[in-house]
Amino acid sequence: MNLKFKNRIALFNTLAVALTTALVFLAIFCVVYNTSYAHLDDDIAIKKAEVLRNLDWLGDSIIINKMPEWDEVEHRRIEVDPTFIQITDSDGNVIFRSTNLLKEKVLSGPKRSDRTFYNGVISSQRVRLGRFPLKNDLGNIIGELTIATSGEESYTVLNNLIWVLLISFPIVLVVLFIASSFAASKAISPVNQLIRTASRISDSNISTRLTLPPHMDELYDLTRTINELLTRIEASLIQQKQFTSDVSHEIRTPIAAIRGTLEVLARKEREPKIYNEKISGIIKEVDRLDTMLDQLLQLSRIESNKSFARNEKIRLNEIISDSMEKLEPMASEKNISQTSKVNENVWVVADRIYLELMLDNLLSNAIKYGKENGNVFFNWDDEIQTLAIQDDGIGISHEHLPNVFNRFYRADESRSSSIKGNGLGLSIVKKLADLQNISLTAESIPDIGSTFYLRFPL
Amino acid sequence: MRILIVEDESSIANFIRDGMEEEGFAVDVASNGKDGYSLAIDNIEEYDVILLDWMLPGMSGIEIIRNLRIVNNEIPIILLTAKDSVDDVVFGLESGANDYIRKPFSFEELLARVRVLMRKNETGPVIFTAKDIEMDIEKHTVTHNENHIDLTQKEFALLEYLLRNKGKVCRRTRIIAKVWNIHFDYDNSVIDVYINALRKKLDDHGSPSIITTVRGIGYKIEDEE
Repeated sequence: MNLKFKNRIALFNTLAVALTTALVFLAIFCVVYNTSYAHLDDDIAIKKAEVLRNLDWLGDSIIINKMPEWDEVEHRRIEVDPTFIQITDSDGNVIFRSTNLLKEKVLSGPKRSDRTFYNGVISSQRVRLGRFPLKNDLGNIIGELTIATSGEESYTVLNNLIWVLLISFPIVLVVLFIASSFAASKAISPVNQLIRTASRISDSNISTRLTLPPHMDELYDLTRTINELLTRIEASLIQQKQFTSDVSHEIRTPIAAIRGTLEVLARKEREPKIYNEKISGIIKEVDRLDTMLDQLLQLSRIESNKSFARNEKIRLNEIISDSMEKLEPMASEKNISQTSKVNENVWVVADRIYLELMLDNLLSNAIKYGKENGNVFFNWDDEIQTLAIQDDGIGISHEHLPNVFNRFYRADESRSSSIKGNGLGLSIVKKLADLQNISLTAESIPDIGSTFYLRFPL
Repeated sequence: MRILIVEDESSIANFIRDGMEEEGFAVDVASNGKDGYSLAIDNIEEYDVILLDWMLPGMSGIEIIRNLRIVNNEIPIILLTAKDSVDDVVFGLESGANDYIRKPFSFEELLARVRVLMRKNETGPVIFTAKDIEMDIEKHTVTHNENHIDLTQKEFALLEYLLRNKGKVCRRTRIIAKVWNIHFDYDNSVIDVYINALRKKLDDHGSPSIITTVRGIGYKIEDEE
């Protein structure tokens, strides 16, 4: 069934009430029915006692001691609350009838029924009848006494009651349905309000928040939950926008430089020296683009394979030596010496490829931001299972330090871009460290140097 | 004509400087926001156009524009940026930039936009004449009786400055400020050398020079009307 929520609530409500009401009405009817007939039956019983006082029997014969009051007005007329009396013998022959019954058919009780009291009709008047067997001293049935009294009043009362109940039942239900539907719609109107507001929120106004309801109820919780969800979506949207804009900036800048340099170069004939100079500058820009593309691919690969870090036992110094060898050409350009003070028998548990990538990035960073004739040291602290990569380079200022692991963050911006970095290296290191549960921290003093710490899990 | 370029990417600043100098502009380059701002504010009268990167270390291009606009509303500023959304363009222009160029851009387009802004700013002609000399700034040519004359960058810039101020005396200090860049070491005799070179290339033998010397002050090209 495709009912609205409020109507569904109203329908359930109405069905429940319908059932209860039906039961209550039935109970009322039964009580009234029984009470009103009990009164009539009492009257009949009194009458019976009176009649029996005037009856005698001899053997199987009934002797009626006729009483003058039987001829009283009430027995002759049927109009006002009459009492009817009929006595039959054991063969069903009428031996006495009260005067008001003379024109009527013989009263006979329901066949094969041993009920004492039952309903019937006399002269189209509803009556209550009682029939009593007449027994002689031996206990043999010698006849039957039937007493009837008008049930018109009770019948009218019961009839009216039935009508009232039957008519009021649907009215009650209809009114109830409307009322509960209204109440339900009132109750869920804040939800509708919520739906309307929430459906208006899109990318462009994602910073909109829903107004919290005044009462601390389920709606309050729901609204707060939606707001928290919006906050998280907004944060990731902003991050994504920032990332896209950073990527586009980082790609456009070298392309702009390459395009502009070539264009100006082509404006007229130049000396070979100029061509060489400009071309080597352009090659550097292309390399920069290439490196950045590599790193972006690495980042996206790491992000898509999140759960995939192997646990391998690795001899730390082996990996450090590999990294130092790889970066030796870059280090010798600035005459920077690389030294590992890590003991040969230090083993760590990590993913070999990831750890290699981390060390390569950290080392190339140390060299990139190192001074001429500087040093890079690798130290191992066995007690806290921590590898320190220490340089004596330009350092990172206090304000920049917390951000160096963010993508595209470059602390060196104030030093112009004589050092070509794109701020991706350290964010890759951070991601890889997180994947392997390695805690990564940095310390730095500007102009003295920086130290990066890798604390391996125990 | 003097231009200030504020751009932290040296590779971009370099080609703009090279290209602009070839076009006869005197070019100053600042590689961060703070240097750029102080150069601009100190020499606001000398610059004809400022080219400004948006994302700069130290002080953003937008901050520089807003601060400059408090002092000076006339100087044309072009924002160079990798930001490319419509919102960014609108924001940049509303902050007080006169024009907006997205990276990567064509140098020719940049040049054309610079020229348009300078023309708007000065409402002067693009072709200057004096006696038989005709100078076409857009085409970057100088002719004497319809004969093409080859000029060096500085000679061209010097002549352009004198012609733009035809009829007025150009002070030596102003010439230095407009034609040479900030790194010029203030050896005033260089001006005389360039003036002599110009006279040699432009003047007819025997007739008086197109450029007259105003003793102790500077030089001037007479307005014949």
